[in-house]
Amino acid sequence: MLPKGAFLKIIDNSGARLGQIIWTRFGTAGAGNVVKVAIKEAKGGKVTKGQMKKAVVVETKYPTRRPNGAHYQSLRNTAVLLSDKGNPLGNRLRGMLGLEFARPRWKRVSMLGKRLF
Amino acid sequence: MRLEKCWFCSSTIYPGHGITFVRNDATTFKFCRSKCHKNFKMKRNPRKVRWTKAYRKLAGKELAEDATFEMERRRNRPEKYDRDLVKKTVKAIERISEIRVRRQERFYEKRMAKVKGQQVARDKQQLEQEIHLVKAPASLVSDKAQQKSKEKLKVAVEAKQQKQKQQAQGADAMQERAAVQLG
Repeated sequence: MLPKGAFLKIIDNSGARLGQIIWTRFGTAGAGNVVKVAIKEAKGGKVTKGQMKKAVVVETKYPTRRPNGAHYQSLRNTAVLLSDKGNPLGNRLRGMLGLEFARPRWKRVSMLGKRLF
Repeated sequence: MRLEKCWFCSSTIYPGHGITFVRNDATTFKFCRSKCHKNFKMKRNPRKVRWTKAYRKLAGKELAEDATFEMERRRNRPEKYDRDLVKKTVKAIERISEIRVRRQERFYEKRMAKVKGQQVARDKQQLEQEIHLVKAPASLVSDKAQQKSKEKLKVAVEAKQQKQKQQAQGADAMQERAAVQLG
């Protein structure tokens, strides 16, 4: 349930630390949704502050609902940076991915992480 | 579909209920309802919260170790579907829960057996000390006086009856003697 203007912690090793959402497809973004992000903080890596990149939301504080009725929530709002084509910019992930990333669309992102919970 | 156990109170979480919390270090905590979730957020230790199974088992109020508990383990390898196996498993589940319930009830009865005698003594003490909560002390005194007068009456009545009986017996005896004399 992240709207425009929300801050996301970037959990891959692309160099960015914090990103602010500047565009969502449906007004609010949940786990597994792609957003456009302006990078507010960056340290080293391939990305610098002030750039606009695509990202996929990984964890949200607001509970994510699964089709079986289960709800899960996290302590923070996180995202993974993507290239324009949709492939992850970093090559390592620090965090857990939900089953939302089991789809073939997110195959490359899920391969970075350890396992899906 | 899998039935989970609530992290806080150890009750079963049925599908569609409760919430799962994923911490930053990727540990998951499952809660059956918001009560348990809120207690967790308050950083309460379930082993100290009295209504949880964790507390009860630790405090010896409930059966903690038993072979029937070992039967219900989390198995991560999915079994290939076999109708006979499912039938047997369902039957086994029923039988095992029957045994478990029986053992738990026996444990409870054993624990409560010592309490009955204590309860009677406690009730007696309460009756003696706290009767003022039920009846006013003044009325108690008048009750006692009433009872005393009742007893006095009873004793008097009994004495009178005895006397009458004796008189009647005496009269009978005299009649008999008279009859004998005449006859």
